[in-house]
Amino acid sequence: MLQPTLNPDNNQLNRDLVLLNRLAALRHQYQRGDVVTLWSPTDPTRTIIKRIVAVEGDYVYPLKPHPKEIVRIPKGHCWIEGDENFHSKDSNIYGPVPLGLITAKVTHIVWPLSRLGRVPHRGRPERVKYGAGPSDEDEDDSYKPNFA
Amino acid sequence: MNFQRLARFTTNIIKGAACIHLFKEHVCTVTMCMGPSMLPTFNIINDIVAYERISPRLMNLDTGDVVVCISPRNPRRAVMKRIIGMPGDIICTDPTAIERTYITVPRGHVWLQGDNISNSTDSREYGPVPYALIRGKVFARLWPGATWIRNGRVPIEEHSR
Repeated sequence: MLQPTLNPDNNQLNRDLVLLNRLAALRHQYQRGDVVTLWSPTDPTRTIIKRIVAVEGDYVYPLKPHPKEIVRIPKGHCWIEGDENFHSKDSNIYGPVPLGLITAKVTHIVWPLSRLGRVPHRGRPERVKYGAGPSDEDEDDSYKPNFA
Repeated sequence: MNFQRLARFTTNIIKGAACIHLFKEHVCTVTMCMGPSMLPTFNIINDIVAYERISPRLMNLDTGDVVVCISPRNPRRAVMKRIIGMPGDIICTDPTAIERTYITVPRGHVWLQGDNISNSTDSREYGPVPYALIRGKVFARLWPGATWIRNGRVPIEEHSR
């Protein structure tokens, strides 16, 4: 659910077509704000599309379902969120996700033609504090997902 | 005439390479593994194993299977571990700890552990691993000593006898 950036109509009649960059996923170098497709951590048969909000070493103040006050993104992980986080199943529910789940980077919207072009950019949410990158302390910060 | 033969030759090579790539990506691959984490089953270095990509896709995995999985810590590295818990299983996070804690493996995740419990970086450190990170199920060791790798699970009744 990346509304309203993709599929702005709430009825699922007109779906957007997007262009994926799979070579970017081979190098595993992502920037904050990139829109990516990834295997869902909760259901391996489904692909989801989310925006990377924070990369390894950053700090995030998560939203409600998440139990922690502040989360440091561990090594090899990222924090993904939908653009409307009040109805999006994202890292606020299952925590940071491993980069290995990401399959492609979404670069352009192809259809409908009225919105042809690059995927719109979004600024940094105020809940994210950029860190100094990964450090050795990350080894202790383990991946512990939280499920209701 | 000569040019035609050359063109046919190159297209055949490209087709062959594409077939090999498809086979490797979707059916079966051979890889070399190293590291002490699977010690009784596999050597530290220079073991060549074969793994197939079909079982994970068909959700055909079970506890006791040896799998190749992308490391959650580093997306460029693959690790080989044994599945200890499937989604919904209640498992002990660390049997060597003084105070044991038990968790339920969450939906869409598996609990992976190496056979060499004393020297293995696995789910005990980084928690349950998303199922989608699993690349394939190891079914044979090719060298040294070619053998099939079967599911290593032993039922409790047999074990205590």
